[in-house]
This record gives sequence, structure tokens and C-alpha cells, in this order.
Amino acid sequence: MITLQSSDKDVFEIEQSILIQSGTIKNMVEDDFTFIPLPSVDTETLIKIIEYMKKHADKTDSKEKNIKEFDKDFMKKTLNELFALVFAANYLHISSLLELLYPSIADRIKDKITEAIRQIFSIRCDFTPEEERRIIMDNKWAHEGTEIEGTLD
Amino acid sequence: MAEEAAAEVIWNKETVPKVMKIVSSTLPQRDLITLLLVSPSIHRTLLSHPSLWLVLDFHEMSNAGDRLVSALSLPRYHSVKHINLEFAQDIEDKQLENVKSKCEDSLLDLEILNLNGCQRISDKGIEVVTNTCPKLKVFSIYWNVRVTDVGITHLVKNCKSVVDLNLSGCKNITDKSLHLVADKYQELESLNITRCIKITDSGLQRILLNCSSLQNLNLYALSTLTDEAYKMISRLPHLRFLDLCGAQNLTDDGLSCIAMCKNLVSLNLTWCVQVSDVGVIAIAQGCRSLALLSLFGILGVSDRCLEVLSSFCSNTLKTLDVNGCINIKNRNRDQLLKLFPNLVCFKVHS
Repeated sequence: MITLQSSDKDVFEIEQSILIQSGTIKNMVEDDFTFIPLPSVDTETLIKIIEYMKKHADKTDSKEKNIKEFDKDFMKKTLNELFALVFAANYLHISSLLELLYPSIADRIKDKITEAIRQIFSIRCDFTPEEERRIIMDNKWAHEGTEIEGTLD
Repeated sequence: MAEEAAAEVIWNKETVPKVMKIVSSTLPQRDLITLLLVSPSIHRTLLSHPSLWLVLDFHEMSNAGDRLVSALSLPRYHSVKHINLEFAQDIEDKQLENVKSKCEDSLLDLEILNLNGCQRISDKGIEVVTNTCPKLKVFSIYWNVRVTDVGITHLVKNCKSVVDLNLSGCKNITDKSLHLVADKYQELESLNITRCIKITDSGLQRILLNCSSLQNLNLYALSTLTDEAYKMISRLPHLRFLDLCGAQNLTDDGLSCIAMCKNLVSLNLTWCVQVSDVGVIAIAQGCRSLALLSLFGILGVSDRCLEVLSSFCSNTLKTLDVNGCINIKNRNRDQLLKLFPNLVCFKVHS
């Protein structure tokens, strides 16, 4: 059994066989660590990560469909939750989870204009008008046809 | 309220840019560049990662020549490794000359150049562009009938490290080009000379003599070649992919030599009408990792060769095309699955 500690200092005891899906944890276990602090992962996110790894630990053919359903539901999260999961999965090197997360975020970016992306991700744009104009000009070559990137108009 | 403002700053300046950076390696070019315009923090974060800016993709875009010059003038593309101009429009010799005169230094690290379908580029354009990218490893110029042996002469002179060459459909290439390629690119791994109809046994033989690292060889629609060349394919110990579609002069003798390529994974014998059970049995015995085999249209093969094939390759074979093989009596889906339980695809040739 391995003990994980979240940034909120909550501890979770989990079987090693489940946790080795995380490259980071696998390396630490190989170096004989049994207590692993994770100061960059909060409790709420860690609970989700553990839930994911538990479901994916036992991959047999009969469970394939089951797992696909789980993954689909698992991705139904708010943007904040997804971001927290991206950071955690990235830090913990859980490549299967990252591969699941990429499209859920990329789909919110795909084919969108700049202003739409700002709204979806609640991003404040603090380019000066001149900066923004220059960057748009520099990168005009990248867009086909008459699509113009979001301006402040 | 101050707490909220502080949280907003962290969200904008750290959280979002970091996530965008992690996700960007999976984004297509268009979306990646849209992201640059979203906020200064994202702009700064993405630009600080050179690995995001190694590919320029203009496939099917209009004004490709001008776009390429604009892009290459930006510092973030000065180490670009891969340029895709497949079926791009407005990319001709004069645009390539423009690229050379304005952005010569930006192409010094280029490794992959895709000019597939750029039909207006001629030998001159090839001379110009290969002059700017000495480190080129992968060169592809599919379906261009203006390119001749002169263009290939420039390629081999300027680019010493090519390992992957696609001249599919370049109908004016002759044996002379193959002699040059064989002499200069002895580490060649992939060669596609589909429909290069001027090529004869002589050209292919030189390649087979010199390029022993070949893994992928595409000889689709080269119907004048004979066993004199095919037999020498046995000299390629690393061959994994071989397309002989239309090799109407290939006999069982030739195929038995090819069977010495024991690492063969994919073999297309569509319309190889002189082949019989003898040749296919030799392949079965020699190539135990075969995953794809097409015998489409071959009348000389019977159930016997499938039985032998099954005894050697039933574990690995995933694709088998025996459509039109009317002398194989038992070839419906279920019968094939009985012999080859891992089959998922029953069609190679359309």
C-alpha cells in the first residue's frame, strides 16, 4: 500500500498496482517511497485522479465498454475541474488520462475565433490595440479566406 | 474583492497559459495561432516553447508561396523542421526563388519537405529549394510530371542525408535518377516510384544493390519490370513494406527470392497474374510476420496456398484480399476467419 498526501494534507492509502499508472509515482515507488506528498494536487482533484486510476487499473476485454462509458462521464466536468486534472495528470505523468483530457479542451478551441476562446475560458485580454494589431498582421498568413481573428470591435 | 482580483490575475497569467501550453502540442496549426492572439500571457508562454513551432502546414491553402515567406520571416520559425505544401496553390518556381532570396537562413534545419501535388514546380524550383535545406531527410513530390533527372541531380548534390524519397507519379524520372539515388543515398529507408513508367530493371537493380537499409519500397504500376530486378529484392534484409501491384512479369521464381525478406509485414501482389501457389507458399514459409497480403485478381492461386499461409501466418495476418481469386473456392468471410482468426480487413485493392 502507498500513501498519497494532497496539498490540503488529506491522506489516501491505495494499492501500488493501481498507482503505477502514474509514471511519477511509479518512479518513486521504485525508489522505495511509500509515503508520497503531492503539494500541487488538492484533495478534490486527487480523489478524481484516484477514481480514474482505479477504474483503469483492471483492463480486461469485457470491461472495455464499461471503461469507455466511465471515461465519457468522467469528462463531464467544469472547465476549472478539467484544468486541475490537466495539471495533475501532467505532473503525475498519467498519459492515458492526458490523452483523454486533450480533446476535451482542444474541442473548446477548435475552429473558434479569438474572442470566443476568451469568453469560453474567461480570459481577459490585455494586449494594447497596437500590440494586438501587430500580432494579427504577423500571423495573417495562417488563416485561409476572409476569417479575421477577433478584434475588439 | 482584492482576493477575487488576485485570483483572476493568477488565472490569466499562470493557470490558463500553462494549460494551453500542455494542450497545444495536439492542436492543429490554425488553432495554435489563434491561441497566440488570445492574451499576452498565452502569447509569451507559447512562444517560449520552441518545440511548438517546428512545423509549417499550408496543405491545400491558396497563396502558399506568399504565406510561406510571411511565416518564415517570424523568428519563431527560424528552426522549422517540417514544411507541408501538399496540394497548396500558387507555389511555383518563382515563389521558391522568393523564399530563397528572403528567408534563406530559416531553412537550414529543414528535415521534411512535402511538395506533393505541387505540379507547377520544375527542376529549377527543386534546384532552388534544395539549395536552402542541406539537412533534408524526407522529400516528397508526388504527381509532378515536370520534374526530370535534372531535378534529382540537384537534390542529391544539395541534400546528402535523404532517407525517404517519394517520386510517385513523376513520370519523367528515368533510370538515371535511380542510379544517382543509389549512389548517393545508401542509407535510404523509403522509396516510392509508383508510376515512374520510364524506369527499367537497370534502375531498380542499382537501388537494390546499394540501398540495403530499405524498409519500404513501392513499385506500384511499374509493369515493365521483370524477375531480373525482382529477384534482387532478396538483398534487402530490413524490408517491411513492398507494393508490387501490377507487376505482371513477376513469376514464382521472383517471388521465391522476395520470400528471403523475412521481416516483410505488408505485401501487395494485386494483379501479379503470373504468380501461383508456389510463390505464395514460399512467402508463407519465409515471411512469418506477414500482416497484410493482397492476392487480388490472381487466378493461379488456390485453397492450397491459403492453407499453407495459415499454418505460418495465422497469428499475424490482419488483412487479406482474395477478391477475384476465383480458383480459391473457400474464400467467404467465415471461411477466411477460420484460417486466419485475426483478420479484420478483407480488401486492399479497390
